[in-house]
Parts: sequence; structure tokens; C-alpha cells
Amino acid sequence: MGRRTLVAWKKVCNREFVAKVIFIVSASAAVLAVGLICVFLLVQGLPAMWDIGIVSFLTGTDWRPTWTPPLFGILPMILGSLYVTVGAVFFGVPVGIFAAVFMARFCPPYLYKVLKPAVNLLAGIPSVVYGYFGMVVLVPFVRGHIGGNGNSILTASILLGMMILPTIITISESAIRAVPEEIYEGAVALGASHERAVFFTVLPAAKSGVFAAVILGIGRAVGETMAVRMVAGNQAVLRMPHEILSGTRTLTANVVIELGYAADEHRQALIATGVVLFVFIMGINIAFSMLKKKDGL
Amino acid sequence: MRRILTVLAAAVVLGAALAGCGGSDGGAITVFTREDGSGTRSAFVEIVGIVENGNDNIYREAVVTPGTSVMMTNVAENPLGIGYASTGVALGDGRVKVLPIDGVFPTAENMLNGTYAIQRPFIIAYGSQAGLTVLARDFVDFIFSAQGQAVVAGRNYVPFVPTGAPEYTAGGLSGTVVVNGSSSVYDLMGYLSAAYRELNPNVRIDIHGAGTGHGINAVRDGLADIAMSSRDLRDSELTFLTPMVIAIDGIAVIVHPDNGVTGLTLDAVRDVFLGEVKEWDGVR
Repeated sequence: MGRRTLVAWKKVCNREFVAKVIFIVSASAAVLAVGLICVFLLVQGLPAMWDIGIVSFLTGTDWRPTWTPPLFGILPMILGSLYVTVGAVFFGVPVGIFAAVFMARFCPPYLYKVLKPAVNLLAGIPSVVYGYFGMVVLVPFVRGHIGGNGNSILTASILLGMMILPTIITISESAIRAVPEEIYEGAVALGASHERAVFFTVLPAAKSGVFAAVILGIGRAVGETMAVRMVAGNQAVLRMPHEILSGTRTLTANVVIELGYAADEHRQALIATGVVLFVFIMGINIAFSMLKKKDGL
Repeated sequence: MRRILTVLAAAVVLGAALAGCGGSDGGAITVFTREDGSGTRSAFVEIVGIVENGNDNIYREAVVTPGTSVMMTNVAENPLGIGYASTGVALGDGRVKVLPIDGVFPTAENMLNGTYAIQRPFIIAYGSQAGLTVLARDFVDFIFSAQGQAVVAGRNYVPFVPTGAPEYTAGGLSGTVVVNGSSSVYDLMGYLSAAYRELNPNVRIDIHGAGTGHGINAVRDGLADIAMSSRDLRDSELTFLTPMVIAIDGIAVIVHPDNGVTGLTLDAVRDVFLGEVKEWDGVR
């Protein structure tokens, strides 16, 4: 091997090495970010949980951070997050899935040209705009036609249901479109009507994608903050499931409303709230992967 | 749009099913409060007497509105609502009705002579150790000048230096001043900075209305030059902050313009915000 070729060879090696490093770093950025957040949350949040007492923190029904002595019980917020998320699923999932089925299998092209950008636009609206819409449209609507003072679990659920629509529609639609055409044709060949073929063969075949859509929707609902805190009432009061016309405070709202003011123990308690939220999200993801495994999807 | 309507239709059906256990109450008061840590809230509960053993005891069912603007919008949208906000903001916002308390309306005059009880100082503060930058000092000088205090008086606030304030002359400075804190002081600070920037076009003033506590923390952490507070500073905060009163502001008790109530006593305000009176009939 001549000297010149050797140098050229080394150059290539170097370039390859550099590229490799760049790709590895890029690939690990996400993992690193999750790791850092994990460490931060645990280091800052766990001592606070320990000081307050994990049991009294998680099952305490009183949140009085500015009292002396302060009370840090986040059960009302845990339930609050749960209620609005279940509510969002109740409103958002059926509408979202039916919309996806319609767009993938029933929609005439001229309508699709309108619907698709509309859904994308829905996804792009900032959550504070949803919040304002909720405050001036949904809150008075619920107060006037359903009951309560309007700032309630129900209002937050409806608003969140709207906000998770684009996620559910987009992912469900691509899942439905990804189903091999043969499945649909086979059903029709066996005498099924268009509707029957879509709902009983295509949709079940797409169920893993639809599940993914629902899980991502739930993730968005649990994590949503700006819009929820503008319509949910934010009372840190323990609610029973039938009190959906009363207000509630979610975990995210609790953090964002008070973090700016909080110092010392209060601040740590809010970070500990973040830990609980993080565990929530992890639980959702784990449940999803277990579901996937069990169904062999 | 069709989907939105479907969602709403579903809500109506669900609501009808729930009407039995829910309760569509005619004259129930919806109490709006600010969040824990808000300067307006802590001043309000202290003056009105909603404090028990030093602990804020506001009605637990009160809807918590994060920020002055959310408070204003909520009360403006709810015919049965009652809330409270800086008089400077409330009097300038035609969407809500400001109530006289014990027959006294929150005018500048009534606040100066003390007959309007619910008032507190607007304070700016800077880090005692770091001091003010030359630029921030210039802005503070402007606030306390005749021109600055004229801005305060022109906006429904009560100037703290009513007469005899020195004239301000611009020094041709440039740079950025960061101000953070009370969302109640935010509006006033905006007017002040606009007037200041007319004289000093090369200066940028970044104003954030994240809340009194937030602003104080920002100055402590060196993230802001000046903190805005809508309450007196606590002893623990005075160890690292130097405060200055820039104006007196009332806290207005506000209701929806369609609300028939024409005034409340301070006792009635306390009862409402303690949750002891729950119906508008109870105070009318």
C-alpha cells in the first residue's frame, strides 16, 4: 500500500469514526434526556416525599402549602388527573376513532381535502388558545345548560376530549390505512357490506395502531396543563366520581400554579408531585407495552 | 365543527342524566380567588380577615384563577361570580362591575384618606447585595420622577409621591432591564415602561408578570433586575431585598355587570370568601 492510499484510508476511517460518534450521540440524546429528568426528579422529589411521609403525601386529602405547619396531601390532585383523563377518553376516543374510520374508508375526496387540514390545524392550536376557548365558550355553556358553576371536571373533560382528537384521529387513520387491502376485499367477497367489512375486519386488524392512538391521547390528556388549569376550577378538594360538576385540580395544574411562588419544602413537594406524574406516565407506557405483548400485536 | 358539535351533544345528554344529582342552582355564588402565593390574595385575605391563626382560610370551593387576567375573564363570564383584583386593572376593564365596600368606592381619594379599607402598596425591590445596574437605577429614577408618578396617577393607581417629585431627564442609555413579579403590578409597569421608552428608545424593558413570589425568587437567583410585589415583603425576603413603594393600589371586589348587587359590607365580603354565605340572597 502506497503512502498516499494509506493517508486516504486513514481519512475515511476518521470520517467514519466521526460520523459514528455523531449518530451515537444523536441516538442517545433522548435516552440521556429521560435519564437526566429521572435523576433530577428523584434527587429533588424523593427527599421531600420522605420528609412529608410517602403515605401521608400520597393519601393526604389536604393541600395547604402556605399554612404553618403546611399540609401536603396530593390525593385530590391524583384523583383530579384521573377524572379528567377518564373524561377526556370518554369524549375523545369514540369521536376520534369514528372520525378516523370515516376519513380512511368513507370520506369522499373533496371532503377529505377539507377534513385532513382541519385535523392538522386542530393539532397545531396552542393549548392556551384551547384554554381561552374553554373559558369563554365551554364554561358558560356547561354552567348554563348542565349545571354547577362551569369550572368543573366535566368542562375540563370535554375540552381535553377535543384536544386529544387530532392525536387519536391521525394515528388511528394511518393504522386503518395500513391494513392490507386484501382483508377488506376478502370480507366484501364473502358478502359483507362496505360498513360491515370496515367495522368487523379492517378496524379489528388495525387495533394495535388504534390502541397506540388511545394511549398517546391519554398521555396528552394527563400531561395537559395550560388549558386544564383555565377551566377546571383548580380546587384542591377531594372529589368523588359523581361530583363531575365540581372543580378539581390536576397534578400538572398543581405544579404550574404554585411553582413560581414556592420555596423550600413547598417547592420540593411540587417536584414530588412531578415524580407522581412521572410514575403515572410510566405506568401508562408499561400498561401499553404489556397490552401489546399479551395481544401479540 | 361537526365533531365539536357531536362532543357537545354528548355532553348535553350526559348533563341531562346528571341533572338529578348535580344541581342547577339559581343564586349560588361562585367565588373566585387567586392562587396560593399571589400577592393580591395574601393582601386580600389579611385585610378582609379571612386568616385564622396566620393561616389563609379562604373558601375551599372557591375557583382558583391563576393570574389577574384569568380572574377578570372568569368574573366577566359568570353572572353569579365574585372575585377580587387590583383596582387599577378592575376599574380600567369595562367587563366587570366594581363594588363599593361599606358604601365606599375605591377612588384614589378614598384610598389616600383611608376610608377604602382594602388597599395595599405596590412595591418594587432589588437585590440588596447586587444593587441596581446603572440602567435599572435610571428606570427606577424615572418611576419616582414627576413624569413617572404622573403615569401612575393617570391609570387609576394612587401615586406614592403625590407632589414634589423631581423632573426626569433621559441620559441616552441603552440595554435591557428585566422586571418580574406580581401580575397586578404588571399592567402599571407596562405603562411606566412605555413612557420610559419614549424618552429612552434604546432601552428594552422585559416585563414578566409571573406572580409576586416568582419575581422575588427571580431577583434572588439573579434572573431579574427588579421584582414587583403587590404585598408587603416578608421578613425573610427583606434579608436579601431592598423594597420601594411605587404606588398604592386598592383591591376591588368585582362581580358580573348584570349582577344586581350594588355594594357589600366588609363583613359580607368576608362571609362570602369564607364560604359562610353561599347564596346571593344571603347578602342582598
